[in-house]
Amino acid sequence: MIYFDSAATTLQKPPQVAQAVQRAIRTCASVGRGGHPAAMAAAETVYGCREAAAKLFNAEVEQVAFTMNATHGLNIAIRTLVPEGAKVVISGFEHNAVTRPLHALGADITVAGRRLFSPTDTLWAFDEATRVRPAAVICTHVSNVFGYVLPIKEIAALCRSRNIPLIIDAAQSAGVLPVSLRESGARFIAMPGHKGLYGPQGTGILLCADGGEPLLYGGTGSNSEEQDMPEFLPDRLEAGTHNVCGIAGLREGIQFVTRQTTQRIFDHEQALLRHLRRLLRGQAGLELFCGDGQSGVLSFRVRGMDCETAAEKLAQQQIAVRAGLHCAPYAHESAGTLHSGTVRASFSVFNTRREVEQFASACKKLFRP
Amino acid sequence: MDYFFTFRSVTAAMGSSRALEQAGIKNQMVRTPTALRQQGCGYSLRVSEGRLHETKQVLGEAVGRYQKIYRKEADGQWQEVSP
Repeated sequence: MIYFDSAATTLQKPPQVAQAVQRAIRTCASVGRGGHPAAMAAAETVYGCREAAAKLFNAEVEQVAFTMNATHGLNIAIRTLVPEGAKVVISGFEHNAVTRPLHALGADITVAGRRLFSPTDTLWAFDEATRVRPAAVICTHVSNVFGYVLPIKEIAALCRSRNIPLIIDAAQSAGVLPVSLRESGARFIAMPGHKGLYGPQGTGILLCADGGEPLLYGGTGSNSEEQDMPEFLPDRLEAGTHNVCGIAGLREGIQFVTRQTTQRIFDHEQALLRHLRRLLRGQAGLELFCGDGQSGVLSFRVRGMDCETAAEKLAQQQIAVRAGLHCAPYAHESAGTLHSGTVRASFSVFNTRREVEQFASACKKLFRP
Repeated sequence: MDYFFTFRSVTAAMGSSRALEQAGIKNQMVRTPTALRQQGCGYSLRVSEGRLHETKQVLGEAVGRYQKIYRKEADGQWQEVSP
């Protein structure tokens, strides 16, 4: 199978990820719940992952909170910073993981920057929108639909200069682009473990500059006499037993990314993207969404064919892509593809030029007008 | 005689244990004895008397500074040591 759906979940993982999961399920008990060797092994494993993440994302170890996924982290961040009905500014490329929690809070949402692959327009729109002093700015680093890399450094600088808390959705950038809690000055950065960090599904990280409000309340193995959740991180945001096996795998995934370096992974995916764009450009019947500052994600439409039908035809050729709205209706609305959706091909470090060529060849055969 | 450095969380204790190891100071992470608990369960680092001063120096700079230091007396009583 050619797997081009890594923007949803990376399927191919470094072998040590599965090995770590297996080892953890045999040897690790619960973190912070005992002093016996199996509890200590769990504590060691989870701390090791925190340490690896802190190093990769330029944060302190205690600023790394484990979540179930990026959505979980974004919910914590939004619930911490956005009171009911408050003004917030978001980009025109946000995922439902951002917009649905805001909708549930009845937030007064301003959408800044809807022009695809135009960082200048995006930055200008954020500059205008943040003059009203919103409760928070929430911005994705990379559009999960189009691979548009938003000018997050400049948006972060703008937020710092206006003292507006920033939440970064790093779901598509963690492991591929530099992400730094310290340098960005963001209040929160949320990311999944199962995409560019090559960890198992059900893992995620929320980087917290300074505290946060829990979504879950319960046991933490600390301050047990108190009925309030601990004030300190990471315990405040980590009630209940950790996903130790998943975190064990995530640790290996992060170490893999650290060894490879995000730059090399990015360069590899860029090379694949450029190759695919060259091969598909000019093909009659295909509409590609391309631009400068695009990560390893390519959306396209097939004229006269529903995107789900196109993806199904590819699946019959053992090619995995994702079609539809990708849980990001705002992004599709911005690009004018809300009614049609798109077919999305997305890469990981394990994809090859040969796979890109096979994919392009299949597209030519299947989607000839 | 051993000294116990208490911590607010397993993460803080683990980070401090790593910092001590890097400084070549042998230590053992244990559950905090009931008599030493501040607000419930927690973890401590046990170090030998000969490394007390160095331990304080290292942990003074480490992530997740300790809460308190205790010494167990010969009669089994705990004595808090000034940090």
